[in-house]
Amino acid sequence: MNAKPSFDRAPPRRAARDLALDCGRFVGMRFDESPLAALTGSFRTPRGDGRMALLQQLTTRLLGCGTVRRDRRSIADALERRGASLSFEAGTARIAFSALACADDLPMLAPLLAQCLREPRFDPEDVVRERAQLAAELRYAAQDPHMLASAVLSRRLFEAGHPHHEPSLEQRIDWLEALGVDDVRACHEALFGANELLVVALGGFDPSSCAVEFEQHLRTWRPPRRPITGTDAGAIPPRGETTRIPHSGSTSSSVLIGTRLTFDVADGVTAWLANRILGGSYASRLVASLRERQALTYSVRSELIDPQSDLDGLWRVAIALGEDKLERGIAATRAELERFADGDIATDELDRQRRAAIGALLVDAASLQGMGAFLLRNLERGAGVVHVDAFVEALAAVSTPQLQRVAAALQPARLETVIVGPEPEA
Amino acid sequence: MTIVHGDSAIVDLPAEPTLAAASPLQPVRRVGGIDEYRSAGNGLRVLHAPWHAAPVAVLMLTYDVGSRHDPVGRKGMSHLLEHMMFKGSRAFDRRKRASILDLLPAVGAKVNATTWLDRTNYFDLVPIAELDLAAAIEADRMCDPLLDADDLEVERAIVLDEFDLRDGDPNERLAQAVWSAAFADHPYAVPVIGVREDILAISREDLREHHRRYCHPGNATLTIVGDLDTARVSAIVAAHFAGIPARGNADAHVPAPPTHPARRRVDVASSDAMPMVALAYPIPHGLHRDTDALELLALVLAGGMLSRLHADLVALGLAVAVSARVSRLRGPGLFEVQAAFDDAAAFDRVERALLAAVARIRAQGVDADELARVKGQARGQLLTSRDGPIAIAMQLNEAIAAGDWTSYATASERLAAVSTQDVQRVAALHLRDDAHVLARFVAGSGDAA
Repeated sequence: MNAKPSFDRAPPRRAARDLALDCGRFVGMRFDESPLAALTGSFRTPRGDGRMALLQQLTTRLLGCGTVRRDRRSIADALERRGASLSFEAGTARIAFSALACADDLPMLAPLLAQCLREPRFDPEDVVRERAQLAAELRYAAQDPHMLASAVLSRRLFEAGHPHHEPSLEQRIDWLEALGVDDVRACHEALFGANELLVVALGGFDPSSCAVEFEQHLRTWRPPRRPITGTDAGAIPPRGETTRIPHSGSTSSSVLIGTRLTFDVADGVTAWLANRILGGSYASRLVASLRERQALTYSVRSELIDPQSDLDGLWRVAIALGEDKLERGIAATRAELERFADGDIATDELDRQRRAAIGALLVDAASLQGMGAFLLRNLERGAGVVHVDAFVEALAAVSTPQLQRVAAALQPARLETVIVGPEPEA
Repeated sequence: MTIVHGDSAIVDLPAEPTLAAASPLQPVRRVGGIDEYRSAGNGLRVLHAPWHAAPVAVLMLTYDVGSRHDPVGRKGMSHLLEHMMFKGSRAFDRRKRASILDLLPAVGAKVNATTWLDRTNYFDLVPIAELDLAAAIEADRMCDPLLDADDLEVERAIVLDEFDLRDGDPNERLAQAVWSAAFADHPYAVPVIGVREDILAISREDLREHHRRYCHPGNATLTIVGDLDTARVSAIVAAHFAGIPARGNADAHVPAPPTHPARRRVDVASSDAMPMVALAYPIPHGLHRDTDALELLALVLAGGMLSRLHADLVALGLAVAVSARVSRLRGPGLFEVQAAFDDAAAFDRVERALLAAVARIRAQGVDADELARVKGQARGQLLTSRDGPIAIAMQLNEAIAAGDWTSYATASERLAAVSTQDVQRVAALHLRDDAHVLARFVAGSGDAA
């Protein structure tokens, strides 16, 4: 029997405008005390292989580089003069956008965002420049030991063609260099549109007027013509192997230990809580054991990529270990993972972690951007939660057997390990 | 009361006058909606910034102690002490599972601390119901941290891991090389994390003395940002801080100004870092009147797509990213400009472009529209960067460390008052061609200077 968690003092239940617009779903909340406007949102795009992911990434970077009505410089001028920001980001299954500005500047921001989404200019010169910048960023990221470990782990767990499989740097650079303005335009036309569009608008303004504004600019934006489908590419059965990659510039090792996670074992809230208990917070087991008790590392955390109904997720532990602690650190991590996977989760620990999770939710949502991220995450998961206290209800419903089921999915004997660090001494 | 931090009409009034007679707080002033008090018995400065959007609060203690206070042979002491302060105190003993890390994360609080050149800050973002607990813990570790010998060995190992992580990051090494070259004979030259041999040598007694000397009410500012009124702030101070004995006043010692080298070139070895050039000019302390014009100058140079270096380098494909920033410190700081690029053969060209962009401003200044744009940018960024109590507290922390917390509240007005003449004047005065450090990566694995 799980005790229902509660707030010592509930957050104000703000009047949320939760509207089904022609173009998608709009959630707005008024914060009279804030001088800011924070917009965030996303729409769904098809998943694909590494080349498709790269094409979507390049297309997304170009959304803010000019529209058919405003050139790149005009957009930059509108934003920079006001100290406002507008950004776009391509994920595995959705394209996300976010904007932050003074509330007084919302009348400029909403139509600009809509124009960028619907009518990007895709100037050939911009395509060349953004492609070069993206290539430089990929090369730079590939030198980072953690990023390198992440790429190698993705290839150990997922077959080529799977959205979570990260092809080699050389392969991605080859693909990228072959992409041109026609590819980008075709990608936008075929894949970008009001497909499961979500908009979250928070700040010192009237959310109803904001919804009307979005409706006016996005009403005729339709879903793309290409149907959204999953991918046939699968996952590789984990074998519990260790891969070691020498990295000349490192004085310590970046270690990733991970596995894939299937949708059938966990809903979003249960998996989120399980990850917090394992290593997703300072109050987690891994931090308590590896950092606080054994002093094996400065940095340890577990990370979860939510599984979807048609796409496996990923659960991994990231640790930075000095060479003299490498073997002990990995052994200690595995011991914690085994204890966790065995389902050793007592009721009082669950209650403690639930209380911590509720508090963390409150403090994470204590900014417009934090609250916006929380709401969007829930809407994307299909949870439909537009209030923090509703999420707490969902948290209260998580049972020990549910958590144990998620934890068992770790299968410690089959976890893949990737170590990127200094060459071992002979 | 609802306030708009940073862009409200600045009024300089006595702080909240409605304190109960028994309150330990003495009103000092109210600036930009933030109240300053002194705790009568021990000199603790208290700042209260009401923020009512959510039932949370940040409680932060800023001590006037940073790496510049580390004794010779004990470089890294302030940072190691910061780590040790999480190992428990007399009433919140880790061995009884009652330390800050046992209690506050368990209620969802975000708990952390940072050490920098001039200051150390400890902060707890908590659900409002837990604010008293956070205050009790902070007060207890101000008075009586355990600083246990076994814990010291554990934490020393963790700090050395952190040291190795930073040392393995080429960008960290480049940034440090710039500061070391610019502040050769000044404490700012030494990395905040310290020196490996010194970290190994720090004893429990060293830490006790460092704590005794610097972690006391007269050398601290308690900042509370959140969903509470003055009466609650007063009650928290009365319950947890007012009874702490005074141990003297703030440490007023500021090291002698550094002897900046005329011109210095530093090569930092790295076999795999993205090519980067860093250019740094010595500038005055953070409260100097020229610093605001320098802030705007940084935006003119690299504040976005319309900035000069973006046009000169990024738009032409010569660089991937450019940045410029001003350090606002208690002592002198640096005006730093960086460019990252993909073509390792372009070092000289990028270097020339950075120097030329600065020289152009020295010679020709900036035009009125350009300045108007970056002023709008600065104002907007100031507001949007204060989204939530933790962001507000962190900005207040830096203003406290620079020596005047009200600079947080007056920033928008000061920036608005900068003229085109000011920008050209500060460029000519401080960004001199005969006094700068230029650093870049070279292939290899050892440092060369």
